[in-house]
Amino acid sequence: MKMDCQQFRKLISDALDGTLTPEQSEAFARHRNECRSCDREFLKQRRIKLYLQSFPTVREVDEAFRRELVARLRRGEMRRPHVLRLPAVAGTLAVICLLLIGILFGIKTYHQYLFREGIFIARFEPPGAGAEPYEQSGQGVQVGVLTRTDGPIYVLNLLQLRPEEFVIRLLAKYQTGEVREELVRRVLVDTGLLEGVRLHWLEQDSFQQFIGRPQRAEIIFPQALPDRLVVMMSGDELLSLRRFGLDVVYAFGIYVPQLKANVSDELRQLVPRTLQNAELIDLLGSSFQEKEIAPDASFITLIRFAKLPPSQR
Amino acid sequence: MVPLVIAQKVDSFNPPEVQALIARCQAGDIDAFEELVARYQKYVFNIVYQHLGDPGEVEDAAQEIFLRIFKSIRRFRGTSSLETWIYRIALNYVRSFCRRRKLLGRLFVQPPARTGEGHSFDVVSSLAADTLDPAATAEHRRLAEEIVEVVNQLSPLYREVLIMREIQELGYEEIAEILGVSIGTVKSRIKRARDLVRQKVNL
Repeated sequence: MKMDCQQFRKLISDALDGTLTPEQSEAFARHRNECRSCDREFLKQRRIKLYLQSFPTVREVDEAFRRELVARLRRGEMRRPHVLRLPAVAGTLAVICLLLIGILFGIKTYHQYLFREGIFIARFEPPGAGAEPYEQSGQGVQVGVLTRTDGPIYVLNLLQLRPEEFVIRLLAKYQTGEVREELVRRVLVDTGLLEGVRLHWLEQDSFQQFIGRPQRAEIIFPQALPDRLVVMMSGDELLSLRRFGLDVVYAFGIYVPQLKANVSDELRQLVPRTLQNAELIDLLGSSFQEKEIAPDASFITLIRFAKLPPSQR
Repeated sequence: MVPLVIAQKVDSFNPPEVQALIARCQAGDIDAFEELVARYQKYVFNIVYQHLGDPGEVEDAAQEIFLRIFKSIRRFRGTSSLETWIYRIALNYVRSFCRRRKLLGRLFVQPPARTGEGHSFDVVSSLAADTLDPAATAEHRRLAEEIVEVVNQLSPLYREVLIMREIQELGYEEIAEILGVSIGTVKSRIKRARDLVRQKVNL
Protein backbone atom coordinates (compact mmCIF):
# COMPACT_ATOMS: atom_id res chain seq x y z
CA MET A 1 0.00 0.00 0.00
CA LYS A 2 1.48 3.27 -1.16
CA MET A 3 0.64 6.48 0.67
CA ASP A 4 1.05 10.08 -0.49
CA CYS A 5 1.51 13.15 1.72
CA GLN A 6 -2.16 14.09 1.67
CA GLN A 7 -3.25 10.63 2.77
CA PHE A 8 -0.52 10.63 5.40
CA ARG A 9 -1.69 13.89 6.97
CA LYS A 10 -5.26 12.70 7.08
CA LEU A 11 -4.15 9.72 9.12
CA ILE A 12 -1.97 11.58 11.64
CA SER A 13 -4.83 11.90 14.11
CA ASP A 14 -5.59 8.18 13.92
CA ALA A 15 -1.92 7.39 14.26
CA LEU A 16 -1.69 9.51 17.41
CA ASP A 17 -4.64 7.58 18.82
CA GLY A 18 -3.19 4.25 17.72
CA THR A 19 -6.24 3.33 15.69
CA LEU A 20 -4.56 2.61 12.36
CA THR A 21 -5.08 -0.80 10.78
CA PRO A 22 -1.92 -2.91 10.37
CA GLU A 23 -1.77 -2.08 6.66
CA GLN A 24 -2.25 1.62 7.30
CA SER A 25 0.33 1.51 10.07
CA GLU A 26 2.89 -0.08 7.81
CA ALA A 27 2.28 2.38 4.97
CA PHE A 28 2.31 5.24 7.49
CA ALA A 29 5.70 4.19 8.86
CA ARG A 30 7.08 3.73 5.36
CA HIS A 31 5.98 7.20 4.32
CA ARG A 32 7.55 8.70 7.41
CA ASN A 33 10.86 7.20 6.41
CA GLU A 34 10.53 8.49 2.87
CA CYS A 35 9.17 12.01 3.51
CA ARG A 36 11.00 14.21 6.00
CA SER A 37 8.36 16.93 5.87
CA CYS A 38 5.55 14.57 6.85
CA ASP A 39 7.72 12.99 9.49
CA ARG A 40 8.38 16.42 11.02
CA GLU A 41 4.68 17.24 10.97
CA PHE A 42 3.84 13.99 12.72
CA LEU A 43 6.49 14.65 15.38
CA LYS A 44 5.13 18.15 15.99
CA GLN A 45 1.62 16.87 16.49
CA ARG A 46 2.89 14.14 18.77
CA ARG A 47 4.75 16.75 20.76
CA ILE A 48 1.56 18.76 21.20
CA LYS A 49 -0.20 15.63 22.36
CA LEU A 50 2.51 15.04 24.96
CA TYR A 51 2.22 18.59 26.18
CA LEU A 52 -1.53 18.24 26.42
CA GLN A 53 -1.11 15.17 28.53
CA SER A 54 0.84 17.26 30.99
CA PHE A 55 -2.16 19.57 31.42
CA PRO A 56 -2.59 20.52 35.10
CA THR A 57 -4.61 18.04 37.08
CA VAL A 58 -5.98 17.97 40.57
CA ARG A 59 -4.02 15.54 42.67
CA GLU A 60 -5.80 15.69 45.97
CA VAL A 61 -8.90 17.26 47.36
CA ASP A 62 -9.11 18.66 50.83
CA GLU A 63 -11.16 16.61 53.28
CA ALA A 64 -12.94 19.78 54.25
CA PHE A 65 -14.70 19.76 50.92
CA ARG A 66 -16.46 16.50 51.69
CA ARG A 67 -17.25 17.51 55.24
CA GLU A 68 -18.88 20.73 54.11
CA LEU A 69 -20.82 18.99 51.38
CA VAL A 70 -22.16 16.28 53.66
CA ALA A 71 -23.01 18.86 56.32
CA ARG A 72 -25.08 20.71 53.74
CA LEU A 73 -26.84 17.51 52.79
CA ARG A 74 -27.65 16.70 56.41
CA ARG A 75 -29.02 20.19 56.92
CA GLY A 76 -31.14 19.70 53.81
CA GLU A 77 -29.49 22.73 52.25
CA MET A 78 -29.72 21.49 48.72
CA ARG A 79 -29.47 24.81 47.09
CA ARG A 80 -27.12 27.55 48.05
CA PRO A 81 -28.98 30.81 47.72
CA HIS A 82 -27.36 33.29 45.42
CA VAL A 83 -26.48 36.47 47.18
CA LEU A 84 -26.86 39.44 44.90
CA ARG A 85 -24.42 42.29 44.92
CA LEU A 86 -27.02 44.83 45.85
CA PRO A 87 -25.15 48.01 44.87
CA ALA A 88 -24.39 46.61 41.43
CA VAL A 89 -27.92 45.34 40.92
CA ALA A 90 -29.54 48.51 42.23
CA GLY A 91 -27.25 50.71 40.18
CA THR A 92 -27.90 48.76 37.02
CA LEU A 93 -31.65 48.75 37.57
CA ALA A 94 -31.58 52.48 38.20
CA VAL A 95 -29.65 53.09 35.00
CA ILE A 96 -32.02 50.87 33.02
CA CYS A 97 -35.05 52.65 34.49
CA LEU A 98 -33.59 56.04 33.71
CA LEU A 99 -32.81 54.98 30.19
CA LEU A 100 -36.33 53.63 29.69
CA ILE A 101 -37.89 56.75 31.11
CA GLY A 102 -35.61 58.84 28.93
CA ILE A 103 -36.49 56.87 25.82
CA LEU A 104 -40.22 56.98 26.55
CA PHE A 105 -40.06 60.66 27.35
CA GLY A 106 -38.02 61.26 24.23
CA ILE A 107 -40.47 59.40 22.03
CA LYS A 108 -43.42 61.17 23.58
CA THR A 109 -41.76 64.54 23.31
CA TYR A 110 -40.77 63.85 19.76
CA HIS A 111 -44.33 62.86 18.91
CA GLN A 112 -45.64 66.00 20.51
CA TYR A 113 -43.00 67.99 18.74
CA LEU A 114 -43.88 66.50 15.38
CA PHE A 115 -47.56 67.18 15.78
CA ARG A 116 -47.14 70.56 17.37
CA GLU A 117 -44.66 71.87 14.86
CA GLY A 118 -46.30 70.32 11.88
CA ILE A 119 -43.40 68.35 10.56
CA PHE A 120 -44.28 66.29 7.56
CA ILE A 121 -42.19 63.93 5.66
CA ALA A 122 -43.37 62.91 2.29
CA ARG A 123 -42.30 61.78 -1.09
CA PHE A 124 -44.56 61.63 -4.03
CA GLU A 125 -43.81 59.19 -6.79
CA PRO A 126 -45.71 59.00 -10.04
CA PRO A 127 -46.70 55.59 -11.37
CA GLY A 128 -44.23 55.22 -14.23
CA ALA A 129 -40.83 56.56 -14.87
CA GLY A 130 -40.01 60.11 -15.62
CA ALA A 131 -41.41 63.37 -14.44
CA GLU A 132 -44.91 64.51 -15.01
CA PRO A 133 -45.74 68.14 -15.59
CA TYR A 134 -47.22 70.35 -12.99
CA GLU A 135 -50.86 70.04 -12.47
CA GLN A 136 -52.79 72.84 -11.00
CA SER A 137 -56.05 72.33 -9.27
CA GLY A 138 -58.83 74.81 -9.21
CA GLN A 139 -58.31 75.61 -5.57
CA GLY A 140 -54.91 77.07 -6.21
CA VAL A 141 -53.08 74.13 -4.75
CA GLN A 142 -50.19 73.07 -6.82
CA VAL A 143 -49.09 69.53 -6.88
CA GLY A 144 -46.13 68.26 -8.73
CA VAL A 145 -44.17 65.16 -9.02
CA LEU A 146 -40.63 64.36 -8.14
CA THR A 147 -38.26 64.17 -11.00
CA ARG A 148 -36.15 61.69 -9.10
CA THR A 149 -37.44 58.48 -7.65
CA ASP A 150 -34.73 57.67 -5.18
CA GLY A 151 -33.64 61.06 -4.04
CA PRO A 152 -33.33 62.44 -0.55
CA ILE A 153 -36.29 62.78 1.72
CA TYR A 154 -37.05 66.18 3.08
CA VAL A 155 -38.51 67.09 6.37
CA LEU A 156 -39.74 70.58 6.29
CA ASN A 157 -40.49 72.17 9.57
CA LEU A 158 -41.72 75.67 9.83
CA LEU A 159 -41.25 76.15 13.51
CA GLN A 160 -43.96 78.05 15.34
CA LEU A 161 -44.99 79.66 12.14
CA ARG A 162 -48.37 81.25 11.97
CA PRO A 163 -49.89 82.12 8.59
CA GLU A 164 -49.70 85.83 9.27
CA GLU A 165 -46.07 85.67 10.19
CA PHE A 166 -45.31 83.47 7.27
CA VAL A 167 -46.87 85.87 4.81
CA ILE A 168 -45.14 88.86 6.32
CA ARG A 169 -41.79 87.19 6.46
CA LEU A 170 -42.01 85.96 2.93
CA LEU A 171 -43.04 89.33 1.65
CA ALA A 172 -40.29 90.99 3.64
CA LYS A 173 -37.74 88.65 2.16
CA TYR A 174 -39.20 89.26 -1.24
CA GLN A 175 -38.90 92.97 -0.68
CA THR A 176 -35.21 92.65 0.06
CA GLY A 177 -34.79 90.59 -3.07
CA GLU A 178 -33.88 87.38 -1.30
CA VAL A 179 -36.87 85.48 -2.62
CA ARG A 180 -37.96 85.35 -6.22
CA GLU A 181 -41.37 86.50 -7.30
CA GLU A 182 -42.15 83.10 -8.68
CA LEU A 183 -41.85 81.55 -5.27
CA VAL A 184 -43.93 84.23 -3.58
CA ARG A 185 -46.60 83.84 -6.19
CA ARG A 186 -46.68 80.13 -5.92
CA VAL A 187 -46.47 79.88 -2.16
CA LEU A 188 -48.74 82.75 -1.23
CA VAL A 189 -51.01 83.52 -4.13
CA ASP A 190 -51.54 80.24 -5.92
CA THR A 191 -52.07 78.34 -2.74
CA GLY A 192 -54.89 80.59 -1.67
CA LEU A 193 -53.08 81.91 1.34
CA LEU A 194 -53.48 85.42 0.02
CA GLU A 195 -56.87 85.01 -1.52
CA GLY A 196 -58.95 87.81 -0.15
CA VAL A 197 -55.99 89.79 0.99
CA ARG A 198 -56.01 93.22 -0.49
CA LEU A 199 -52.64 94.55 -1.36
CA HIS A 200 -52.46 97.51 -3.60
CA TRP A 201 -49.44 96.20 -5.51
CA LEU A 202 -51.09 92.89 -5.98
CA GLU A 203 -53.77 94.44 -8.15
CA GLN A 204 -51.17 95.28 -10.73
CA ASP A 205 -50.29 91.64 -10.96
CA SER A 206 -46.71 92.38 -10.17
CA PHE A 207 -44.62 92.66 -7.12
CA GLN A 208 -42.03 94.87 -8.78
CA GLN A 209 -43.03 98.03 -6.97
CA PHE A 210 -42.63 96.31 -3.71
CA ILE A 211 -39.00 95.33 -4.23
CA GLY A 212 -36.39 97.42 -2.54
CA ARG A 213 -38.85 100.07 -1.48
CA PRO A 214 -39.41 100.43 2.20
CA GLN A 215 -43.06 101.35 2.17
CA ARG A 216 -46.06 100.78 4.33
CA ALA A 217 -48.11 97.92 3.15
CA GLU A 218 -51.56 97.14 4.47
CA ILE A 219 -52.01 93.44 4.54
CA ILE A 220 -55.47 92.19 5.23
CA PHE A 221 -55.77 88.59 5.99
CA PRO A 222 -58.84 86.62 5.09
CA GLN A 223 -61.35 85.53 7.65
CA ALA A 224 -60.19 81.96 7.56
CA LEU A 225 -56.59 81.37 6.87
CA PRO A 226 -55.56 77.85 5.96
CA ASP A 227 -53.45 76.18 8.51
CA ARG A 228 -51.61 74.21 5.89
CA LEU A 229 -50.80 74.22 2.24
CA VAL A 230 -49.07 72.09 -0.27
CA VAL A 231 -46.71 73.70 -2.71
CA MET A 232 -44.26 72.46 -5.24
CA MET A 233 -40.73 73.59 -4.74
CA SER A 234 -37.46 73.14 -6.46
CA GLY A 235 -34.32 72.32 -4.59
CA ASP A 236 -33.15 75.90 -4.88
CA GLU A 237 -36.37 77.18 -3.44
CA LEU A 238 -36.16 74.78 -0.59
CA LEU A 239 -32.74 76.10 0.18
CA SER A 240 -33.91 79.66 -0.12
CA LEU A 241 -36.61 78.96 2.44
CA ARG A 242 -33.90 77.86 4.80
CA ARG A 243 -31.84 80.91 4.08
CA PHE A 244 -34.51 83.39 4.87
CA GLY A 245 -35.13 81.99 8.27
CA LEU A 246 -37.85 79.45 7.87
CA ASP A 247 -36.50 76.66 9.91
CA VAL A 248 -36.11 73.61 7.74
CA VAL A 249 -34.98 70.81 9.96
CA TYR A 250 -34.34 67.22 9.18
CA ALA A 251 -34.50 64.08 11.22
CA PHE A 252 -31.84 61.44 11.44
CA GLY A 253 -33.04 57.90 11.65
CA ILE A 254 -36.12 58.61 13.68
CA TYR A 255 -39.02 56.37 12.89
CA VAL A 256 -42.48 57.17 14.11
CA PRO A 257 -44.92 54.63 12.76
CA GLN A 258 -48.01 56.24 14.22
CA LEU A 259 -47.20 59.50 12.57
CA LYS A 260 -46.57 57.77 9.29
CA ALA A 261 -50.13 56.61 9.04
CA ASN A 262 -51.45 60.02 9.95
CA VAL A 263 -49.29 61.76 7.45
CA SER A 264 -50.43 59.41 4.72
CA ASP A 265 -54.07 60.12 5.35
CA GLU A 266 -53.52 63.79 5.62
CA LEU A 267 -51.47 64.03 2.50
CA ARG A 268 -53.82 61.84 0.54
CA GLN A 269 -56.60 64.25 1.26
CA LEU A 270 -54.50 67.11 0.03
CA VAL A 271 -53.37 65.55 -3.19
CA PRO A 272 -55.91 66.22 -5.95
CA ARG A 273 -57.90 63.31 -7.23
CA THR A 274 -56.43 63.74 -10.67
CA LEU A 275 -53.34 62.05 -9.33
CA GLN A 276 -55.22 59.36 -7.56
CA ASN A 277 -53.34 56.61 -9.28
CA ALA A 278 -50.10 57.90 -8.06
CA GLU A 279 -48.71 56.22 -5.06
CA LEU A 280 -48.01 58.43 -2.14
CA ILE A 281 -45.31 57.17 0.06
CA ASP A 282 -44.35 58.59 3.36
CA LEU A 283 -40.82 58.10 4.30
CA LEU A 284 -39.53 58.78 7.71
CA GLY A 285 -36.16 58.85 9.22
CA SER A 286 -33.94 59.81 6.37
CA SER A 287 -31.32 62.43 6.50
CA PHE A 288 -31.31 65.74 4.80
CA GLN A 289 -28.25 67.17 3.23
CA GLU A 290 -28.06 70.28 1.18
CA LYS A 291 -25.72 68.76 -1.32
CA GLU A 292 -28.35 66.16 -2.11
CA ILE A 293 -30.77 68.74 -3.34
CA ALA A 294 -30.37 68.81 -7.07
CA PRO A 295 -31.08 72.29 -8.45
CA ASP A 296 -33.42 70.93 -11.09
CA ALA A 297 -35.34 68.66 -8.75
CA SER A 298 -38.81 69.56 -7.57
CA PHE A 299 -40.42 68.62 -4.32
CA ILE A 300 -43.78 68.69 -2.82
CA THR A 301 -43.60 70.65 0.33
CA LEU A 302 -46.29 70.57 2.88
CA ILE A 303 -46.29 73.59 5.05
CA ARG A 304 -48.43 73.43 8.10
CA PHE A 305 -49.08 76.35 10.32
CA ALA A 306 -49.26 76.04 14.01
CA LYS A 307 -52.70 76.72 15.34
CA LEU A 308 -52.85 79.53 17.78
CA PRO A 309 -55.00 79.28 20.85
CA PRO A 310 -58.06 81.57 20.63
CA SER A 311 -56.63 83.93 23.24
CA GLN A 312 -53.69 84.79 21.00
CA ARG A 313 -55.64 85.24 17.82
CA MET B 1 -44.23 -12.12 14.34
CA VAL B 2 -41.49 -11.26 16.78
CA PRO B 3 -42.92 -10.33 20.14
CA LEU B 4 -41.88 -6.96 21.42
CA VAL B 5 -39.78 -7.49 24.46
CA ILE B 6 -38.85 -4.65 26.73
CA ALA B 7 -35.83 -5.87 28.53
CA GLN B 8 -34.28 -4.15 31.49
CA LYS B 9 -30.64 -3.73 30.79
CA VAL B 10 -28.47 -5.50 33.30
CA ASP B 11 -26.12 -3.24 35.21
CA SER B 12 -22.91 -4.64 33.92
CA PHE B 13 -21.11 -1.32 33.59
CA ASN B 14 -20.24 -1.00 37.24
CA PRO B 15 -18.37 -3.37 39.57
CA PRO B 16 -20.46 -4.96 42.33
CA GLU B 17 -19.18 -2.70 45.11
CA VAL B 18 -20.13 0.36 43.08
CA GLN B 19 -23.56 -1.11 42.37
CA ALA B 20 -24.03 -1.65 46.08
CA LEU B 21 -22.94 1.89 46.80
CA ILE B 22 -25.35 3.24 44.20
CA ALA B 23 -28.20 1.22 45.68
CA ARG B 24 -27.52 2.64 49.15
CA CYS B 25 -27.34 6.16 47.76
CA GLN B 26 -30.61 5.62 45.93
CA ALA B 27 -32.14 4.67 49.26
CA GLY B 28 -31.16 8.10 50.57
CA ASP B 29 -28.23 6.96 52.71
CA ILE B 30 -26.08 10.06 53.25
CA ASP B 31 -23.18 8.00 54.65
CA ALA B 32 -23.15 6.03 51.42
CA PHE B 33 -23.19 9.26 49.46
CA GLU B 34 -20.23 10.47 51.49
CA GLU B 35 -18.41 7.34 50.37
CA LEU B 36 -19.37 8.08 46.81
CA VAL B 37 -18.05 11.62 47.17
CA ALA B 38 -14.79 10.33 48.61
CA ARG B 39 -14.47 7.94 45.72
CA TYR B 40 -15.22 10.41 42.93
CA GLN B 41 -14.33 13.84 44.26
CA LYS B 42 -10.93 13.94 42.58
CA TYR B 43 -12.52 12.78 39.36
CA VAL B 44 -15.12 15.56 39.50
CA PHE B 45 -12.55 18.16 40.49
CA ASN B 46 -10.45 17.26 37.48
CA ILE B 47 -13.39 17.47 35.12
CA VAL B 48 -14.39 20.85 36.46
CA TYR B 49 -10.87 22.21 36.68
CA GLN B 50 -9.88 21.16 33.20
CA HIS B 51 -13.08 22.20 31.47
CA LEU B 52 -13.63 25.40 33.41
CA GLY B 53 -10.03 26.56 33.48
CA ASP B 54 -10.67 28.72 36.54
CA PRO B 55 -9.31 27.33 39.82
CA GLY B 56 -11.30 29.83 41.84
CA GLU B 57 -14.61 28.34 40.76
CA VAL B 58 -13.73 24.67 41.04
CA GLU B 59 -14.80 23.93 44.57
CA ASP B 60 -18.20 25.61 44.35
CA ALA B 61 -18.87 23.95 41.04
CA ALA B 62 -17.89 20.57 42.45
CA GLN B 63 -20.26 21.02 45.38
CA GLU B 64 -23.14 21.88 43.10
CA ILE B 65 -22.36 18.92 40.89
CA PHE B 66 -22.38 16.50 43.83
CA LEU B 67 -25.68 17.96 44.99
CA ARG B 68 -27.10 17.37 41.54
CA ILE B 69 -25.77 13.83 41.66
CA PHE B 70 -27.40 13.30 45.05
CA LYS B 71 -30.72 14.60 43.80
CA SER B 72 -30.76 12.58 40.61
CA ILE B 73 -29.06 9.34 41.59
CA ARG B 74 -32.47 7.71 42.07
CA ARG B 75 -32.93 8.02 38.33
CA PHE B 76 -29.63 6.31 37.56
CA ARG B 77 -30.54 3.02 35.88
CA GLY B 78 -27.07 1.61 35.43
CA THR B 79 -27.19 1.74 31.64
CA SER B 80 -23.75 3.30 31.63
CA SER B 81 -20.84 3.38 34.01
CA LEU B 82 -21.22 5.65 37.01
CA GLU B 83 -18.19 7.63 35.86
CA THR B 84 -19.79 8.36 32.51
CA TRP B 85 -23.02 9.41 34.18
CA ILE B 86 -21.19 11.67 36.63
CA TYR B 87 -19.11 13.10 33.81
CA ARG B 88 -22.28 14.00 31.90
CA ILE B 89 -23.74 15.78 34.92
CA ALA B 90 -20.49 17.61 35.58
CA LEU B 91 -20.11 18.67 31.96
CA ASN B 92 -23.69 19.93 31.81
CA TYR B 93 -23.08 21.94 34.94
CA VAL B 94 -19.86 23.41 33.55
CA ARG B 95 -21.63 24.38 30.34
CA SER B 96 -24.48 26.09 32.16
CA PHE B 97 -22.01 27.74 34.51
CA CYS B 98 -20.10 29.16 31.56
CA ARG B 99 -23.32 30.46 30.04
CA ARG B 100 -24.30 32.15 33.29
CA ARG B 101 -20.85 33.60 33.72
CA LYS B 102 -21.11 35.14 30.29
CA LEU B 103 -24.32 36.89 31.27
CA LEU B 104 -22.57 39.21 33.67
CA GLY B 105 -23.38 36.81 36.47
CA ARG B 106 -20.14 37.64 38.15
CA LEU B 107 -21.02 41.28 38.37
CA PHE B 108 -24.33 40.73 40.09
CA VAL B 109 -23.90 37.56 42.13
CA GLN B 110 -21.52 37.27 45.02
CA PRO B 111 -19.57 34.07 45.39
CA PRO B 112 -21.32 32.04 48.11
CA ALA B 113 -19.95 32.47 51.59
CA ARG B 114 -18.41 29.29 52.87
CA THR B 115 -19.74 27.57 55.94
CA GLY B 116 -17.81 24.81 57.72
CA GLU B 117 -15.85 25.39 60.86
CA GLY B 118 -15.69 29.12 60.54
CA HIS B 119 -13.11 29.43 57.81
CA SER B 120 -13.06 29.77 54.08
CA PHE B 121 -11.13 27.64 51.70
CA ASP B 122 -8.51 29.08 49.51
CA VAL B 123 -9.22 27.01 46.46
CA VAL B 124 -6.71 28.65 44.20
CA SER B 125 -3.70 28.02 46.39
CA SER B 126 -4.73 24.56 47.45
CA LEU B 127 -5.35 23.51 43.87
CA ALA B 128 -2.24 25.24 42.65
CA ALA B 129 -0.20 23.40 45.22
CA ASP B 130 -1.70 20.12 44.17
CA THR B 131 -1.32 20.65 40.48
CA LEU B 132 1.30 18.79 38.51
CA ASP B 133 3.49 20.78 36.20
CA PRO B 134 6.02 18.59 34.47
CA ALA B 135 7.40 21.30 32.25
CA ALA B 136 10.85 21.66 33.67
CA THR B 137 12.59 24.19 31.53
CA ALA B 138 11.48 27.69 30.72
CA GLU B 139 10.93 26.81 27.07
CA HIS B 140 8.83 23.81 28.01
CA ARG B 141 6.83 25.92 30.40
CA ARG B 142 6.26 28.57 27.78
CA LEU B 143 5.11 26.00 25.28
CA ALA B 144 2.90 24.24 27.80
CA GLU B 145 1.29 27.54 28.77
CA GLU B 146 0.81 28.47 25.14
CA ILE B 147 -0.89 25.16 24.40
CA VAL B 148 -3.14 25.48 27.44
CA GLU B 149 -4.08 28.98 26.29
CA VAL B 150 -4.83 27.79 22.77
CA VAL B 151 -6.97 24.94 24.08
CA ASN B 152 -8.90 27.30 26.35
CA GLN B 153 -9.63 29.56 23.41
CA LEU B 154 -11.08 26.78 21.28
CA SER B 155 -14.82 26.69 20.89
CA PRO B 156 -16.50 24.36 23.43
CA LEU B 157 -17.28 21.90 20.64
CA TYR B 158 -13.60 21.17 20.10
CA ARG B 159 -12.24 22.01 23.52
CA GLU B 160 -14.43 19.43 25.22
CA VAL B 161 -13.41 16.51 23.02
CA LEU B 162 -9.75 17.46 23.11
CA ILE B 163 -9.72 17.63 26.90
CA MET B 164 -11.56 14.32 27.14
CA ARG B 165 -9.29 12.59 24.70
CA GLU B 166 -5.85 14.06 25.30
CA ILE B 167 -5.94 15.12 28.92
CA GLN B 168 -8.38 12.72 30.48
CA GLU B 169 -7.56 9.99 28.00
CA LEU B 170 -11.12 8.78 27.54
CA GLY B 171 -11.91 6.36 24.74
CA TYR B 172 -13.91 7.30 21.69
CA GLU B 173 -16.93 5.31 22.86
CA GLU B 174 -16.96 6.91 26.27
CA ILE B 175 -16.67 10.39 24.80
CA ALA B 176 -19.45 9.59 22.36
CA GLU B 177 -21.65 8.40 25.21
CA ILE B 178 -20.98 11.45 27.34
CA LEU B 179 -21.63 13.86 24.50
CA GLY B 180 -24.49 11.87 23.00
CA VAL B 181 -22.95 11.82 19.53
CA SER B 182 -21.62 9.11 17.23
CA ILE B 183 -18.07 7.81 17.37
CA GLY B 184 -17.46 9.16 13.87
CA THR B 185 -18.43 12.63 15.06
CA VAL B 186 -16.08 12.31 18.01
CA LYS B 187 -13.22 11.29 15.74
CA SER B 188 -13.76 14.12 13.31
CA ARG B 189 -14.05 16.67 16.14
CA ILE B 190 -10.83 15.43 17.70
CA LYS B 191 -9.03 15.64 14.39
CA ARG B 192 -10.34 19.14 13.77
CA ALA B 193 -9.41 20.22 17.30
CA ARG B 194 -5.89 18.90 16.83
CA ASP B 195 -5.57 20.73 13.54
CA LEU B 196 -6.75 23.96 15.15
CA VAL B 197 -4.24 23.66 17.97
CA ARG B 198 -1.50 22.76 15.54
CA GLN B 199 -2.25 25.86 13.45
CA LYS B 200 -2.10 28.16 16.45
CA VAL B 201 0.82 26.78 18.41
CA ASN B 202 4.21 28.04 17.42
CA LEU B 203 6.45 24.97 17.48
